[in-house]
Amino acid sequence: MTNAKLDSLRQTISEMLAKRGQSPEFSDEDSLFDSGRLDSASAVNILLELESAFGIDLGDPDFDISQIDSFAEITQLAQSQG
Amino acid sequence: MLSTAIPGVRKTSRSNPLEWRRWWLAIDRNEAAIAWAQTLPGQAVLHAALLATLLLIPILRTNHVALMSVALMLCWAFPQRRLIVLTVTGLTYFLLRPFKMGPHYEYFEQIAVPLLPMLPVALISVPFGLLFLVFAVAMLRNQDFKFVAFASNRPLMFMFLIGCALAAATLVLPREHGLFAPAWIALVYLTSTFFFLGYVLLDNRSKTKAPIHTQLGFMRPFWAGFAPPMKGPAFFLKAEAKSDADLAASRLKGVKLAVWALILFLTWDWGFNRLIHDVWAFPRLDDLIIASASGDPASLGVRWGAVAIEFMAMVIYMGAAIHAVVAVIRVAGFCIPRGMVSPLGSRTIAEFWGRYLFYFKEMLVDFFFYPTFRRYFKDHPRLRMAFATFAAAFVGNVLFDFIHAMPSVAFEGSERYLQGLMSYCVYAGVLTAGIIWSQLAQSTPRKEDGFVRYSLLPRAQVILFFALLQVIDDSSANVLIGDRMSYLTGLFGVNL
Repeated sequence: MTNAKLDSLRQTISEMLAKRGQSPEFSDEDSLFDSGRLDSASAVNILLELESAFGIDLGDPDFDISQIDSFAEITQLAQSQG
Repeated sequence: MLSTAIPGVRKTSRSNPLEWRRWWLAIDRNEAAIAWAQTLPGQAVLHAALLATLLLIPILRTNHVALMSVALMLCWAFPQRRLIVLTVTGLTYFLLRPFKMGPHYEYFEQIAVPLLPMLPVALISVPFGLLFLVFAVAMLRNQDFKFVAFASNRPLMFMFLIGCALAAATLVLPREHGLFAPAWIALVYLTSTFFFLGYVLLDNRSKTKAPIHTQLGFMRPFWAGFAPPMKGPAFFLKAEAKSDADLAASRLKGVKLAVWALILFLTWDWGFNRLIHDVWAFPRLDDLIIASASGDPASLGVRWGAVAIEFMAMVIYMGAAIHAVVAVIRVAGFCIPRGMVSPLGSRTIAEFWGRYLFYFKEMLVDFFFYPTFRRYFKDHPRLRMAFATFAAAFVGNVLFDFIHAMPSVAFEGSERYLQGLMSYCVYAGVLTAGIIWSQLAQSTPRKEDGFVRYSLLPRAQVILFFALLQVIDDSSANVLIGDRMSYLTGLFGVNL
């Protein structure tokens, strides 16, 4: 189930990259936000998906957006909730 | 001869200027150029080219260029110790020139010298800077160990409350009081480093957080000057060149950006500053606002023309400034994104805000948008987005501008401060309303809509919004907000 959600999230990220005129291809380790490939509006979409699909509590004071800069980090965060 | 000096240019294409342009724009992906940039002569040429370009862009102060040059030379000489160079140069900069605003140095000397009369004036900031570093280390340790939960969970709010208490003390205490000088000095250090320290504290939560000595080097990194923080140490750790080829590409990107900054600066200086304003004597926007307020308005065409010219000049000038700084950082070996990316190509207000001053927007998003978005109105998506945007575009924006000016109240008085604050609140309010509207209601045009509806109209709307917004964008209170509003409405024939 989590894998299907992650695949869907990967697809969403690809679409956001394409929408910003970037190559939709990205590796698990590629920086998405710090590299400037995605912007804060895209981050909001990912945060919403993490919240709704994976039940992640974004209100945790120790959470920081830099913790989801790559797909590998997003996966790790999502799986930690699973 | 040419192809041996400048690698990668085909013999047949030398006479075609467009081919030269294409070659130049792709130089950081050109394998021959990257290989050349790794040689000693290549490295020397790139550093010399950058420094020569910076000297031709007098937006950066000569002293600051000198500091950047030293830092660049050290980064070049010790590429494996680049982060240590950042630490050493950053701490030196922080200890010797800790403040952002010139008048703060003058007042600081007035009240600090009597406290430590044995020290030369040039070094008077050092002991106070060291004391502030102790505070910064305490804040960092508190992030790790949570001795004070509130300061750990809401470090920026905690520092802001301290700043308010110190500002209140400087207002209440007479200057002769023994606590006035320590309170003002603590305030000026806190407000000058507020967002830099904020990023260091934020980065402390990162998985790739830097060692504490590296973090402290970011209290005032050598490129800081007038610029807002460009993210924190963890960001720079990621952006650091990981190989010789990466470093060469980063340097090529840096020099390319520096040349673009120079072109923009010359366009601003020769085109707008000298030709339009000096030779053609076209009036400046602020002069026209003052003239309108005193009952002597220029013709409507001139007033609109001034809005257009001032807006274009501002975008070009800001582009030159931010590109010059990013160029230096790239040549130092950190391939960070550009600070401004084709803002006039934006099709929505929100997009322009993200493209115009990328790092300023990122700072507001990191410190205000995300924390608010994560905490409030989770069950109301549109309100959640709007409130987080308000926190960033209004609260953060106003706070950034006025936190730096807080120490000035002690010697300029509160009237000017409050006037500037009010003026900036009006500007930030309109900006925020525009961005929220853009995010919630403005539809992103599609290519299928055709040239006019896809490319022309959306861009014209965005440019018009920001061009008009600049009429009320002023925190100096040199021209009153009422006069600015009257000018703005007068453009549409409404005289207040």
